[in-house]
Amino acid sequence: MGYQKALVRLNRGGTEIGFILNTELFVKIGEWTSPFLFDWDAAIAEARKTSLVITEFNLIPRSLDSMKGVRRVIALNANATYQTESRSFSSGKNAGAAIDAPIELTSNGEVFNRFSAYSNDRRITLNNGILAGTFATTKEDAEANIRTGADAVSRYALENKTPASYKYTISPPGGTALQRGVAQPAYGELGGGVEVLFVNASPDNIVTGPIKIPDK
Amino acid sequence: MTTKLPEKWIAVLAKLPESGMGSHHVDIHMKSGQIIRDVPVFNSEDCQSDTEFDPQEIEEIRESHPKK
Repeated sequence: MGYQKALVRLNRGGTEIGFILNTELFVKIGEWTSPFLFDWDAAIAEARKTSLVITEFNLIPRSLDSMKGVRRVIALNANATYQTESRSFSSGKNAGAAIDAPIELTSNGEVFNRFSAYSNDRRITLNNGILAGTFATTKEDAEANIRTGADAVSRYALENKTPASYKYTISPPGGTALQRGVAQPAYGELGGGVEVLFVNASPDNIVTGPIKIPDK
Repeated sequence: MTTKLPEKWIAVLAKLPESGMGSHHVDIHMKSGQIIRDVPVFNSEDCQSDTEFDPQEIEEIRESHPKK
């Protein structure tokens, strides 16, 4: 908390990797243990003596999986557009079903998938929207875990045992209301996948597909 | 056995939230007064019930597990 790891370019050329403290002081990795850092005012005074200036920087994101004890992490780019999220969200012991979860809003750029045994899934409207009360999963959960329609039946504890081999992609606008949880064991299936429940009907033209994945 | 719902009832299920991805659970009220309870319906159209019924004789369909 309070720092960012970054690759910076200096006004004299060359690059350095280090940490930006309090968004104002850059410390090279090799100087991380400098005694100046234990006295903030002294560190700032020391930094003012240098003629080096950072002309450009790129932040180095921390591995999402390294954030222990954090239930859910969403990475956004500079435009606050959704990049990725931690997978540990789905493995929390206290993670409950989506229907019991509080309503939250999607981030810009967040993408979801829906797996169906039907190529004419009736939760998808004629104008490629979704109906209120429609289940799906996150793109991240699907990409990491679903290769076949049978995988989807197991991970999302689907009652219909016909392989859910038709994969729809849902790209709702930011601010879409949904409930987010974990598929509970049911119907002889383990569950454990991230499930989301869209609270309201969506605008048109947010659904693409389906694409057919292997049954087994 | 699987019983196909007419479009009229598919439209009704479209207004109900799903019980899980791809399925509803509903109580089917027949015109005769019979109620077939907790019937899974896949894709809003395929009723999975051991009780045989004529879909043209359905009076009403209600959600079995209302949202909490």
